[in-house]
Amino acid sequence: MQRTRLTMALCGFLSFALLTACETAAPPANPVATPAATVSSAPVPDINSVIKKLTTLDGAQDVSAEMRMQVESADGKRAQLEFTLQRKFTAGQAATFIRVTAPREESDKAILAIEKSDAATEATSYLAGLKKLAKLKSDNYVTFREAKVTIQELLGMELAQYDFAAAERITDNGLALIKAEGKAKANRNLAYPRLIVFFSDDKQEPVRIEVFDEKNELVRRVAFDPMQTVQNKRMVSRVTFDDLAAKRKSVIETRGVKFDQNLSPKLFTEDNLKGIISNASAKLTK
Amino acid sequence: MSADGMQNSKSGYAAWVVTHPRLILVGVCALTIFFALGLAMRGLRLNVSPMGFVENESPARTDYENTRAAFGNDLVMIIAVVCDDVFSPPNLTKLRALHQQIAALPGVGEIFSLANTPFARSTADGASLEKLLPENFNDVARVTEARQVATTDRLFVGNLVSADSKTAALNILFKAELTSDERYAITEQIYRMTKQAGFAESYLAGDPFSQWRGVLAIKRDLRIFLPLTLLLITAVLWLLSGRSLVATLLPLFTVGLGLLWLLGVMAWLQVTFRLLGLMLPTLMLAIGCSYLIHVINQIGIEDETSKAEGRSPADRICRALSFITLPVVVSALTIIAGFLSLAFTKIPAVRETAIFAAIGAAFTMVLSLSFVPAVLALLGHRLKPLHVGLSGKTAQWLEGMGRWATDHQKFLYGLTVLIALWSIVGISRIEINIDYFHFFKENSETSIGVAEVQKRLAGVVTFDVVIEGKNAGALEDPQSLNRIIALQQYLERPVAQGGLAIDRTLSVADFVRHSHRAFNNNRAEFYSIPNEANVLSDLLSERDQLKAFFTRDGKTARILVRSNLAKSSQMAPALRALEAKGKELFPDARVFATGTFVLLNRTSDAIAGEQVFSISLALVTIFVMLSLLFRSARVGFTALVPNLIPVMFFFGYMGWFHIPLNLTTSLVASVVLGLAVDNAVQFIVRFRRLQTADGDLRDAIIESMRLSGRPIIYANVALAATFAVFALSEFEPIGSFGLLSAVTIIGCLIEDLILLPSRLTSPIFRAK
Repeated sequence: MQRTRLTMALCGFLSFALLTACETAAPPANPVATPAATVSSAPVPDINSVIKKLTTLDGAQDVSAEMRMQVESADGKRAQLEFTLQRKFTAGQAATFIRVTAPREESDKAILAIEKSDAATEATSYLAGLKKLAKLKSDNYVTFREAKVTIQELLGMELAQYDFAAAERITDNGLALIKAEGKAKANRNLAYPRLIVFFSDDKQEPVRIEVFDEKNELVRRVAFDPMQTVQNKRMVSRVTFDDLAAKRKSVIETRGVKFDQNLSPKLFTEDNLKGIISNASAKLTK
Repeated sequence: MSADGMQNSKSGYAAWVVTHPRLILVGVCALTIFFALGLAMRGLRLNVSPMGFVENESPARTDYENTRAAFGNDLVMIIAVVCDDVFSPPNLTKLRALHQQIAALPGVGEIFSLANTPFARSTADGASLEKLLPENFNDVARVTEARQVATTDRLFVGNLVSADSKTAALNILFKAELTSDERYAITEQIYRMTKQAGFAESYLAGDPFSQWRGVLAIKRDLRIFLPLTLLLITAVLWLLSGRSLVATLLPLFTVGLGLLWLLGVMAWLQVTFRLLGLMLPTLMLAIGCSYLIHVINQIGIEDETSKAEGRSPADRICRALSFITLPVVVSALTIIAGFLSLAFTKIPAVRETAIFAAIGAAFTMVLSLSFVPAVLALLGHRLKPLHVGLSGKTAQWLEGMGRWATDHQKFLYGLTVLIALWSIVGISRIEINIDYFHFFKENSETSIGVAEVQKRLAGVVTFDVVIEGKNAGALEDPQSLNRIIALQQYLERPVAQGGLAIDRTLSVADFVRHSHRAFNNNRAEFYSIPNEANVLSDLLSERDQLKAFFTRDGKTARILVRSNLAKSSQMAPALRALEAKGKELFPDARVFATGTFVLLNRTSDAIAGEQVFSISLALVTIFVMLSLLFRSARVGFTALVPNLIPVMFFFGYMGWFHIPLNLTTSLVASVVLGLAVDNAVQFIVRFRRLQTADGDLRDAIIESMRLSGRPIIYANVALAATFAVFALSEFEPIGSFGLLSAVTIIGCLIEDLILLPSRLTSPIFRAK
């Protein structure tokens, strides 16, 4: 019986929500009462600053969260996955540890990813049966039941690995937005060579991302619910992914977030990965 | 007895036609506009997919559809690029550029080549999934590693690169939602990109490429066939009518109208124009021409024999029409019966072609007996009398032939028996075979591409062997994967070692072995299926990457076979053997072969049975019509028997000269039987009208030869010539069909002029 799928996959989607957390004291936005937009005459913000603020959690040292993902495939099949995500920032790099917590039979799945600002991301999983590490690149696919994602998606699209052109203001369905196009930096093994990000003009919070493949065809659309404030940080509580080719929809919700817990660096090591997966696998085997 | 004397009376139909010519023309114009509108508004769609030759509903088709749903489509185009060394940086750069160009095309779903293929690279603590080729082709160590892996691992050898590193392959899968036209357009773009990529040689193969070339070939064939056929028929009509411009152009125009109507019907019904449909326009021209030759001949007979009596043109046309209507209708019905006998086949392309050929024959019959006499009646005195040579040298020669035939009855009977015996022995030697490689001519780019890809990389005749367990996880154990390997080895082993020597195979077991070795420092002893269930489970964990070979539930596995089985006669026993071996290895699972070529192979199995059925049906139908025509079953049977000889001769010829019975040659007998009876009917009707109760049968035969022999010769020569034009086709089976038909029609002509007259001396033909 197939039991040990490398199901880390979709849990990584969660990181989207965390990547969009920004420290602020502003009250929650009202998603309904959106005033008719007018294109601002103020200078367009520097998109790289906006992206950096987003991807570094606005200076947070670390974060941990419990998350839930629901997937609905084109033929109506549904699946649910719960997992924890831990992320720690140090000089020039971000380490992410994702571990599946439910369903139980998938609880021996975990992945460790190291993102560097000047190099390609390296992700690692552990195969308890083989007792070997599996190294993965950003464009490698992993699957979980009805879902299929790249490591890049697991890590929230790795927006820091793109070069963004100057942003522009647009009005879209009555909303004033800032739009910027990103192109993949060379030799980063990214799955998607191009994407377009849309931020709200007033709060500079993410609204959606359009993801294009090497044919320049729109293949994914990522939509963000209005952000909420947690521990004085603005964060997205719900993200919807549309896989346009596969006609698959995934929704990720953040259920609990804690910032700056001073997470130990030992959490983000291959030894920890091996230990966690080996223990979980042993429990499952019993 | 004079020809004049044989005219009985003017039929009501003939009288109506010559008195209402304008009404007929208005009706013809209205129908022509209706059908032309259909053609203009809806057009004709071309479809040369081999699936047209496969049954729409059958257990084998269901297996095929299920396999495609589980493992993806099999519309793969293969490009082979040849150079001195694929792994030299300049050639890798060219390969990557071509790969990227093709990948960027909107209709291309997936493309696999050295430029993007991943491999499991061994690392200190495990393995990493990486691209085989480095970004920088000047990285000598990485390129050397890529060469070593690609030219030795069975995942890549033959599929992506040749063992000698001189040929690389790009395997392209099109998006399933593309229309045929879109796929042809993209294939053409890929073809151009490949030819401009800068490689020393390049070859293309695979179904999408064959289909695109097939469409081009159909268009080219039509451009050649139609004008040539028109030219031949024009010449025949010109000679037969005594160089009358009207009598030459009017039939051509009439046949053109019939063709337009037929294409209009196809357009309104949105029927796709398949490969066999290529024969329809020419068939229509030939059949229509055959009717019209007899109509024109009869009008000519009236013109020549009623000079002294000063009959009006309308009267002459009316008398000619009165005589010729019945034989033309019966002839048309026999031809239609011949075509419709194929309408019960399970092969869609054959069925559609037969039905539309029958409709076309009906159209030309109606036009021959309405439009042509109506136009001639309107022309009246402005039309010069036709001269059909009733007293010329040909007529004298035909009379002599009639005398000789009736005087040498015993000799001819003996000859007939000998031909029949020779044919029966030949029939026992017939081989049923579809040659997949020679669908196109041997020197065509398509055939060369197939041969070169097979020679340099791997076989192009691909199919699947599917192992279907009883429940989920049935194949997720080391024993099952090892049995899959055993089955692969059986398929690949040389015949001398008890295998089937089918070129190459690929399965989930190959991926598992590849990964197992990589996770163990590339040690050769780990190129195996692990015995530990949890280790195997880890190696099978990335189901999405294995989806083309293993279902997620672990119930079904697919072995992709790239075979060198060029002919269905080779494939049929191989399929039986592999399925038997599969059953032996997997007693608790179902093992079957499927794929486009496998379905075509099953079609070839059906040909023999359907051939007997369709010919029997045609014979019975024609017998019934002849019996009704002559109001006697005995006469109907006697008239039918001589027409069987050319058909027997045709099958005997195929057997003796090793011409296989295949999808197109199987059509010849039914088609030719209808055409052969056409002329026999014309002859027998003439003979029956000429004979009197106490008259000499021999005199009636000789007179029939004089009056009907010439149009029979012209009609058969025209038919044979138009079928022979098919020999110029880009498609080998169409060419064979044309040549065989031409030979058989000439056989029919000889039979009509020699054997039939000798047989008509039988007392059963004596008028009562």
